[in-house]
Amino acid sequence: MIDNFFRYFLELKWKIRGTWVRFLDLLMFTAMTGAAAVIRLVLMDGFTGWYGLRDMALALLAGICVWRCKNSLTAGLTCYGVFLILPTLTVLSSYWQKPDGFYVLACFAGVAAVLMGKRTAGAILYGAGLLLNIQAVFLLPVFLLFWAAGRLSGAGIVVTAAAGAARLLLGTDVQQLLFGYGNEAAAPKVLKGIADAADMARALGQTDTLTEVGRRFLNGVDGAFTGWAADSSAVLTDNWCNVYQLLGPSDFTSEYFIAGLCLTGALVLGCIYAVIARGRAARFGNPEYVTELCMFFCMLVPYVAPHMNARSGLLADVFAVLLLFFCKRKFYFALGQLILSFSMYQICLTGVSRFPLGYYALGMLALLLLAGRDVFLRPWEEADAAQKGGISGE
Amino acid sequence: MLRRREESAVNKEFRPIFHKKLTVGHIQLTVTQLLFLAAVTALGIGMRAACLSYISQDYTGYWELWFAEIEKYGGMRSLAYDWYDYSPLFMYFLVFIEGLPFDPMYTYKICMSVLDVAAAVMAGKLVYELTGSRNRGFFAYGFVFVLPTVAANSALWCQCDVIYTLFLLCSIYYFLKERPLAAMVFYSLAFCLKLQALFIFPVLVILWVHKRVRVEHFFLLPLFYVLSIIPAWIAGRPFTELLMVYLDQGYTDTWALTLSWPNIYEMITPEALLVTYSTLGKCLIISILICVMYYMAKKRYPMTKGFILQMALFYGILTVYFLPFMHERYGYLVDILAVVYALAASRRMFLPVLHVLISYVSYTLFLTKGEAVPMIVYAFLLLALLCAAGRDVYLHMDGKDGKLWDRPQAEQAN
Repeated sequence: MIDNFFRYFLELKWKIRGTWVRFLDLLMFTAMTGAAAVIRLVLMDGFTGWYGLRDMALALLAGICVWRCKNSLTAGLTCYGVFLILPTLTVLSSYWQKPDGFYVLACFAGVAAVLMGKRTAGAILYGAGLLLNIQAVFLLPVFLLFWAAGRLSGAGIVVTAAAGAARLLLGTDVQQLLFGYGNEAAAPKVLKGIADAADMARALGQTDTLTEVGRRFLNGVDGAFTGWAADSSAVLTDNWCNVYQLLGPSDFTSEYFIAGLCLTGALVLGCIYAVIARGRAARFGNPEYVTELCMFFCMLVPYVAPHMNARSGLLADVFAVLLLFFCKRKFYFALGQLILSFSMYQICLTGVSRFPLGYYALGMLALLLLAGRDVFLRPWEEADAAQKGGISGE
Repeated sequence: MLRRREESAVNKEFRPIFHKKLTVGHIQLTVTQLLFLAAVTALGIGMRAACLSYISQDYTGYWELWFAEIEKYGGMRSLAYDWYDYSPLFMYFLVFIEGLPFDPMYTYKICMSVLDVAAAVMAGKLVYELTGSRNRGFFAYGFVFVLPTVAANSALWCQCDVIYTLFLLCSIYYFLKERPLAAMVFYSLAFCLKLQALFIFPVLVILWVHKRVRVEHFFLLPLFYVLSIIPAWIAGRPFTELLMVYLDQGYTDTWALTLSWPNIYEMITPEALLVTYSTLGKCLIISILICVMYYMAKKRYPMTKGFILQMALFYGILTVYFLPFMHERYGYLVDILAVVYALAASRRMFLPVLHVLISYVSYTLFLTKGEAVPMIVYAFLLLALLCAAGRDVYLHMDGKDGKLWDRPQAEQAN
């Protein structure tokens, strides 16, 4: 009798707006939401911020995307649950209390909106992401490809360009202006012994390449192109596991500052051209492809650009986990990216690294090669054929 | 699948511009292709401009002193003295640089950067010859021009590896075009500039076995070398000394079994048993080459354009892996060949990425004396790349490389 009582709940289901929702689904939703709240409260040591709601919004958006793309509420709810407990997002919002999740939410919503056919809304959301944090520029190649594939209007590109220009002129991230710099006390070991304010800001991961570029533009730095770079004596990587960990982050800082930006631009340009030339723009109807493409660019740009901070992998984390739900075989992206990303957080927060940072950089390179192979070399016809359902347009 | 909306009127007007065809010289390009080439060239120039003012140890230790000697004795007359140990053909280039009314270091770096463009163009032509695809040729140009090792070698380090590499690329190109005389002329010029041209000499031997080049063509090497030393001999340096330049080079820089290149000697400690292992290493590579070349000479397989490139790549990695006293810049040729290879066989895209990484880390080890990851790790990684390249060569000889190439490789005419 007791057995039947509990089994009754397993069988319980309701039809809500054409979708069958089971008791287990509601239980999953409630339990994961509760668990995520508890995790955040523990990390915050009491309620000190409301960034958890932002994380929930991101998780909901991701869950809805997966649900509608795969036509599976189970997959959607699992995605929601996993996003709620993403280690990097959780620590960022609750322990470190950084506002980075806002630009991630805006960018993610922008990509989803464009895929759903809401081009203007997608461009506005992405522009908002750019204003909030310049690191949204990692996704700029994807939006350029959206335009090349006819999924974004010319006006959308103008909106994006305007947002980017506004951000450069502003010289600082809007998220910093609105929400502050987070909990600096979370990184006591990093702050210890650092007297110079600029170095302290860098150590906390407050600065990035384009903040420097914008700042100098506002201050009207004259001189030759190399003279601009010559002002840059900061280390080449602010705790991100990229190529500069292998080359030495303190060597040739002024030379590699400009050369690194040029190389990043050239690689991105080459990849954009490769996508167009190989006719991959036709794959933009495939959410798995778009997710992997977003992940690839979010890995590539911070890998070669100078002055990337420890949180530069956040966008890639999100897309890597999302990719897991579109293709289970590619679980290694989520696993590898989260391990690397979270390790960088730990190095920033505790000052301790288990391995020399160069090894993490090699690991990131391996992931990048695998992602590049998928994006540019894999025939996607069978993935297109296997794609079921999809996000309905207008 | 996800649905698309109708395209806006503005987009319909604007988008066709990118597909419009233009004629530049005798090449027809679309606006997109032209924009890509212009942008990547500008970015490559930007990379070099950022490094131009850096004064490297090689400049202060060698070039600056040599420019001073040239100025002291007055142009070509300075070549009569034995203050230089590079080949005379390269020294004429330095005399030319010193004679210009500009700062020698910047002039040198800019000249090398111009040659980088030429090398990138040759890489593009090689890819076009292998694939017939103009887009891939443009990619090759773009990637080679912005390759970190290529840019740093010329603009940062103030070195000259692009000179002989350019001639080697021309040589390979003409072998693909089945013009052995032109190919050997360029190879001889490369040899006259740098002894490192011999890294791919085994390729010529195999080509001779397959009747792609005649024995008489090999006489061009000593002929061109003798011709190249005549001006220096006329200037006053003894003929025998000029003939022995390369032999004398072999006795310099022998303080470690490997000079920052992560080859097999990184695995056995580069400073241990120097004399013993250096002799052993030379014998080892000769033995390996004998075995490999024996197998390649005896086996019957089609000599395709792709296989010529594969051989050059394989021998370029193999010889540098086992020879002692290899410098950090000796992966330069393979960096470029790997890009060409990957664009013709895109499944091998990992090759240029990893080889350029290894190459540049070696550069960094010399330039900054620091290493983030022990070089032995890269030594194993390079061994894996050597195995990958060797496996590709073997699969071709076994007739099992059909799926490797993006475009089927036709056998060259006998």
